[in-house]
Amino acid sequence: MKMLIRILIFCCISTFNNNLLLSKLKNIKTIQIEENYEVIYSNISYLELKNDTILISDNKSNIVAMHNSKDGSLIKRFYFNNNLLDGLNNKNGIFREGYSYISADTMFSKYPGIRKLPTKIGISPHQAKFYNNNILVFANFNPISIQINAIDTNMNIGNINGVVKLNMTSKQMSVYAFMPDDKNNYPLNYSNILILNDKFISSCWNSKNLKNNNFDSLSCLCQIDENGIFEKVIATLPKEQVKSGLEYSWFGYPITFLNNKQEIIIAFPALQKIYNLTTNDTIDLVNLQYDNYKYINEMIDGELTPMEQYNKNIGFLPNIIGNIFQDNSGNYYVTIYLRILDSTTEEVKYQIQKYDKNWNFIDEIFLPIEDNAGKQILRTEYSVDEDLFLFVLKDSEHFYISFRRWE
Amino acid sequence: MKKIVLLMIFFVNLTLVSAVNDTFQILKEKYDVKEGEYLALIFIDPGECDKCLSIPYTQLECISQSINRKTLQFTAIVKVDREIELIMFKKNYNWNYDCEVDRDFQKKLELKEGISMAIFDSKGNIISQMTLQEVRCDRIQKDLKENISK
Repeated sequence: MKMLIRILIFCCISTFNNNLLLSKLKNIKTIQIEENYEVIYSNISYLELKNDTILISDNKSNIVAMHNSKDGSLIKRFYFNNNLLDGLNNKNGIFREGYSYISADTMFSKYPGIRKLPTKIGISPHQAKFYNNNILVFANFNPISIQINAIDTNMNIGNINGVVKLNMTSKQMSVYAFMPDDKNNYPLNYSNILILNDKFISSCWNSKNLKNNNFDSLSCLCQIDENGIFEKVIATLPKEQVKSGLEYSWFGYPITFLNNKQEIIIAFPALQKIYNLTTNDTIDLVNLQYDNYKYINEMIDGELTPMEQYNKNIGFLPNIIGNIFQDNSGNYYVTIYLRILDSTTEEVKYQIQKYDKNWNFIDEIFLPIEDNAGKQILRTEYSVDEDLFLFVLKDSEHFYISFRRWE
Repeated sequence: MKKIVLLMIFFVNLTLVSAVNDTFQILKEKYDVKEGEYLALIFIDPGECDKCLSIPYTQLECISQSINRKTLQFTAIVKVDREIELIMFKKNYNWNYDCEVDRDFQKKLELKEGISMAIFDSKGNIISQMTLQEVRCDRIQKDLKENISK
């Protein structure tokens, strides 16, 4: 009987807490995202809201589609012309001389005898963004390398990052591969791509410097022009990230964000700091329940390796920064994925912290990974146009987008 | 006191073993794995890796030249949440074989974390488990031969 009362009290407190926490982010509306046999989402990897339209990218199901933001109905799915990959060149040592890239579609129509391999070949979208009159789809390309004038007996599937430009009025589609520079800095699509003065700011890495232990020059953020040509390194990995052995792996690439003054703000997911690259300011996050540096310092001192930490705690590090946003009043929001899963503690939730425009802490909320109705919160985005949080939710049947305002 | 602890350990082990057996039993029945036959599971997260399916697949194809396809069945365990998502997976990956929604199979079958492929005999014994880098035709062949000769 006593046990039953305890369980009942626990359940009531949990429900109360969930409601209380969610009430600070007032739900304006929640829409169900329409799916059909052509559009079945697995993971909404990115979304953008513009006027009455939501642009959704799914890197698991290879889908970019527009939905009506009022009711979630499907407006249009964009299909990629994979033959565009035939135009990718192999300049700058992307692939060995004498070979060129062709799309899987071309390969199989040209050589019908060749058996198709079970591999995702084509264009995998990471994030689609509205830009002027275009939709820019930052994607992973998987063309096939083929020896010129002969079938390559060792058929190799490429893995190239780049952008597909879809012109909304002319319907024209063009594709640009992100080219490395002559110092082996390779641009990547891993984090949010910023668009600043028609240039792309993307994550990047340097294989050569990593191999040569040239740790002072491990690029992590690079600028490329609109045709995918490398221009310059914007940021290198912080020393503590390199010394700890976290380097490029284990949440190594920066989260990026462009603030209202068009300053580049970045954060390394494990480091609990925000960097303003334009003003050179560094801000330490405050009010964190657990401290990543307990483990990072051990890694720096050589007492712990990232792999040991991973095996010990499947949450890896307690705080992983997910996103940075700014509202129209200049307040910043930082979403943190809080995950403690070890033999003594089990805690998984989102922490959203609010800071003013000078990065003074204002307030914070904690959100459960799953809401009271059993919907999982998959990701959070912010619409500056509407000044609203966009939560991507999923239950066992559907995807939803919840529009919320911090009150 | 010692007896109680031993008894507890016994029951915990019993629960774990039966959970593994239950999970394998479901797969065994679904894919009709008979005695002397093997089931290979290929684990794939469609968002993470583009070639993670083709590498184990080509190695299994290589094995199929020396072992009957019915003797070694394979199925993809796909990291998606809903059955319906498998439609897109099959389409995007050009996968014409069996596939399953990953219901935490690596944990339930007590496999090592992060492995790309595992092969079971009809009793649910793990014959081989490999990361993507370890998946090789000769290794699978060796593991199968060793098991067959037992």
